[in-house]
Amino acid sequence: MTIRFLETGAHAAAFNMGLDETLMKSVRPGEPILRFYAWKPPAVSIGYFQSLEDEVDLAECKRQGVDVVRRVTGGGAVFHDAELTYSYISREYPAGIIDSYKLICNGIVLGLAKVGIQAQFVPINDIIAGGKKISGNAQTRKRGVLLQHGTLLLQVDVDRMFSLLKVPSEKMRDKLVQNVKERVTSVNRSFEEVATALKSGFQEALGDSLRESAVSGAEKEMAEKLAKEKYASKEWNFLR
Amino acid sequence: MPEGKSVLKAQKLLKITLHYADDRIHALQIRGDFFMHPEEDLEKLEKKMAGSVLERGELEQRAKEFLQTTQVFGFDEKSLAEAILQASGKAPP
Repeated sequence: MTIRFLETGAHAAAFNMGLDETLMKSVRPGEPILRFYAWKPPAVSIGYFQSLEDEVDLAECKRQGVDVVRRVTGGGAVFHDAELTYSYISREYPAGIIDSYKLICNGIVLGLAKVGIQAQFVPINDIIAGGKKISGNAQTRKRGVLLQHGTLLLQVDVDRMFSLLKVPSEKMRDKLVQNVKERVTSVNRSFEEVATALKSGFQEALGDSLRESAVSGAEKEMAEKLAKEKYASKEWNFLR
Repeated sequence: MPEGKSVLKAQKLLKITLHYADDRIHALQIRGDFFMHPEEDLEKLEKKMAGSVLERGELEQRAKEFLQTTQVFGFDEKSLAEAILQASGKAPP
């Protein structure tokens, strides 16, 4: 079995989410898709079950030129800046949800080992290195297709992250910032170096070779349509 | 109609907005950074809990019935009941 590999570059949040949904439709039986990408401009994504207005300081995001988008997956608010984001999409996957998280996250664990970082998968959806979170992941299953996407932090700016999120009070903000600085870490390597390592890691974890590919014209068109009509819409982002 | 809110740290964060009257849930919104499969079942859970008496046993029972057919990672029937009771003022935050 081969994995169709796409490196789709840095795009706006709505397009990134539109392309994930597009690839869930175009993925073929027996050939999963692995996609690496980045965010330009930086963005905050929230989980499917979160309230946008409760979690995100929309005025501050606008002021800083930071995109905002609701994901189709659960989980929490994520600030996407200096990171490698991946999506794994497949019609074949373990029935158990934690089993599938473990299988896919093992690709990241093995990839990190290749840049000298010892990490481990911690259920439900985290990867920890040196006792600190280095990757968060989220999964959905729709119409027989699994999408798992997640982040690998290249660098982390906790102060900037919390300037964009709502917190109960300013006193709480300082405490949260300090708490996250103690609990989160980053790879501190270039995107290219990490991408090379992760490609190898995913091949080893999933037992398949990667087939270099590109987004088709039809896929790009569908992703742009979904970006415009769904992921950039108030109806979707203010769903809750 | 009284409205109450609560934020509970279960395995994940659970945020409740509750509308209640005569010791019974009229409507509620469940938000948070949990996972639910399938995701569309959140509205079913909110409807399932509506109408419940604000009593731990019934709240847990309704939530437990829901969890027999929907997978949730981040909270269970006990933490959901606790969050609802906190939102109604019947349990301390």
